[in-house]
Amino acid sequence: MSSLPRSPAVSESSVAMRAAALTGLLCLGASACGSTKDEDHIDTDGVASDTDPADTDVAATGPVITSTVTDETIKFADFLAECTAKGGLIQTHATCAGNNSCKGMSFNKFSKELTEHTCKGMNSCGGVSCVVLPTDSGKTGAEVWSGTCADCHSADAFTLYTAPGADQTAAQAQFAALSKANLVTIAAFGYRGLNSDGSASANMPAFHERYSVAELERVAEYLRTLDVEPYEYGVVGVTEDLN
Amino acid sequence: MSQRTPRIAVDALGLGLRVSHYAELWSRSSPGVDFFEVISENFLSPSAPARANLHRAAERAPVVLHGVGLNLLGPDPLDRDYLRALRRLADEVDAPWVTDHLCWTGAHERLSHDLLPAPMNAATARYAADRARIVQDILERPFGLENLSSVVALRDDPLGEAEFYAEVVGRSGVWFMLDVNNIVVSARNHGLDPHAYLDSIDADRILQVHVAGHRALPTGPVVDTHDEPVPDEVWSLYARAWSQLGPFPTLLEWDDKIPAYDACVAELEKARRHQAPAAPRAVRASALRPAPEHPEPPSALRPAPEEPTPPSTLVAWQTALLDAVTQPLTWSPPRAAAAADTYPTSVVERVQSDARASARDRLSAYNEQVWFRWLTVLQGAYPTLSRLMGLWSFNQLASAYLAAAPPRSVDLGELGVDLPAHLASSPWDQPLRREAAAYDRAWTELFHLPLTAAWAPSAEAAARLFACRLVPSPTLRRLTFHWPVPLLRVAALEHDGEAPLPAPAPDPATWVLCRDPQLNLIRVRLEPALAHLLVELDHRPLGEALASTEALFGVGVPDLHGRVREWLQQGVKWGWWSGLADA
Repeated sequence: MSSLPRSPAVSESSVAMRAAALTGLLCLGASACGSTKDEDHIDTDGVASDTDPADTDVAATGPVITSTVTDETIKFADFLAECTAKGGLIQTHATCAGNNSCKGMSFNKFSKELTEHTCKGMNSCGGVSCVVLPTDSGKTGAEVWSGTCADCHSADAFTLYTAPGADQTAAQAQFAALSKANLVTIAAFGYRGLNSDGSASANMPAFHERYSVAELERVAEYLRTLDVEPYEYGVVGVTEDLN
Repeated sequence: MSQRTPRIAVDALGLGLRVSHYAELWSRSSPGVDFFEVISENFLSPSAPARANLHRAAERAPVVLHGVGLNLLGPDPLDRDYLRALRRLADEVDAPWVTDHLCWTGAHERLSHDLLPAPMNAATARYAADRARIVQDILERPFGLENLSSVVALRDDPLGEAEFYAEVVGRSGVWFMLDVNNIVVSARNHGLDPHAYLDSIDADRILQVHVAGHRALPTGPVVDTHDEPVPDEVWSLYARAWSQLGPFPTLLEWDDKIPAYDACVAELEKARRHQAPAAPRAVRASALRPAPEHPEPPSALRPAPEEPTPPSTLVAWQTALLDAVTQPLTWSPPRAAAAADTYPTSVVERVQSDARASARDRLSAYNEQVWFRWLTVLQGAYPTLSRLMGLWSFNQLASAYLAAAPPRSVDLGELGVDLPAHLASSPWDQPLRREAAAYDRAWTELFHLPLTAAWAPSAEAAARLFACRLVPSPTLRRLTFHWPVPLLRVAALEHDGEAPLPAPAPDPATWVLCRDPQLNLIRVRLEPALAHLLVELDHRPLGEALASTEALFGVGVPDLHGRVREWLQQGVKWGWWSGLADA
């Protein structure tokens, strides 16, 4: 662009600059792995500017694979049982070859490799991922609700965010049809502003780093006791048809 | 394919899957139909979002393929690349069968993207049958031919439409993809007897039946629009077909003014009311299995069939008709219309003309349908440009573009590839319009890219990162605009009117449009420092790009380091880079 300044003669960048770049590229630090930071960007016009810059701990651990085994016999039921035993949830990706959200394990159907990792595992197109959630701290559904969900979804009702122009009755019916497992998955892994099929939805951050599976199940049950109040969110963003 | 089983029951109900149904379909616990039919040409490109949607559909119900681009009766050799791609697609979704139309769509490498009629005589039937057999051999699964809904018939045709259809299918060993709505449309256009039409169909060779709606033009011709509920007239012929030829899988097509998914399913389910109990036909259950029905040995053991030569009378007709139906429309307000009085007499005189509609009105129906389809596709591909110009001006630009470069690709998604270049040298050129065209084109290109793997530098690479260049992913576009074109696109997509949208105030900035590994299309307005860093990263190692950014913006931008960390992390998440390269 013509208004951009010309490049000056290149000198060495500062140590702080290099540390910042390294932390960013390697996805390290407090907001790495499973961060929902990117949800802020999809519907906004600029990169958000609300992060603490001092947080550049280059020594923090990055993605670490803790074990890889090849298992020719594993079936989905085995993987699910193993995942459940670890207090995890199966993460369904928007497309094949997904990165799973955080600590857990991934199975690659082609190489038959089962990989355990502390951060960001990759399955294959025919693979499956398990994300391990924290251990249960015993919070009731109402406690989880008032401590987290109520911030956006109201304290004593459920605010259902609907896309601009969407049929609210249909949205309500769709919401009512969601199973408990659907609700738990959404609470665990969040929801993005634009689905891969081009339909619009509200953003929702992921909570798999904060609550156990049992807590998410409790809050899903609690949620069904609340009145549903549709609310059309206003958005300037890429909520357009992907056709 | 040896493991393939007939997964679609003989009395299954299916729905033509359309983009507007996706959101509703994905949120349902069950699809509510027995199978889907997709338009093959919409899934031949490597587009990752399109493929992801196709796979999601295929996880819910079996998918069959229905093509509109085979050009079976066309004079050019069969497009082997197209057929191979079609075969791969059929394998990918394990499609139990594939269908297309008994028609031609283009000649001499020029396409109309319309389903055009041919002279119906023994020579054309032989030509069609020989080619259909080649297609079925390549696909190695049952291939069905759909009867045409024609507006034009030739005065001197020795065979009737039903006779011609039965002759081609019977001679080739392929199958009937019987469209009941098309019979009604053709019957009304040409005064045929729809019951006699059904009598000529061999029940044992029916692969699938279509139902749909149609519409009569004010000038007389009835056209197969698929934009209405199925009319009673079609249901009543369907009921007769069921009792005479059933059971068969039934599919509802709805292509324009498409209602909600549930409404389509409800319309489809009406078929059950029109299905009188039919005597069970043991033969029909096995009819869906291809191999036992094939009289020939497997194709691998046979020499490749020779491509037949098109009859010269066919080629002459096609050359003349293609010129007529692609002839540019006249643009006099309030509407564009076919210049019906300029069709060559030699073409007009061969077309049947009667009290239902004149020959020229029949030809106009095709001529306008061809152009309106093209213009609608281009408006969809260029929403920002078309709303900014207003549809009337945009359509003229688009018409001039298509007249200068007639469509040659079967994929309508490629129709607008060179429109931005054409705009730049046209009388409609303006700087803001150029930027709008470039942005719309970038959107389409990103949509059509194949799946790209997510990439992030490994901890092991940290030591050499600063000496390397970050290789930009094809899913990353950096665009510099003098106006806020990306915001204009958002406004344009909400703008239904034909009048031009007002131009926005200038606001120069650099933007990124990217597709993240989850296939979201994301646009971001870049701060000047980030824009500079990205430009520098195009040709310099990371260390130098950082140094140059720091030298320029280290003083002016508060917390530049924190911002750089944020951006780079975000860039990795959004898949901006595909790897490292030595500088």
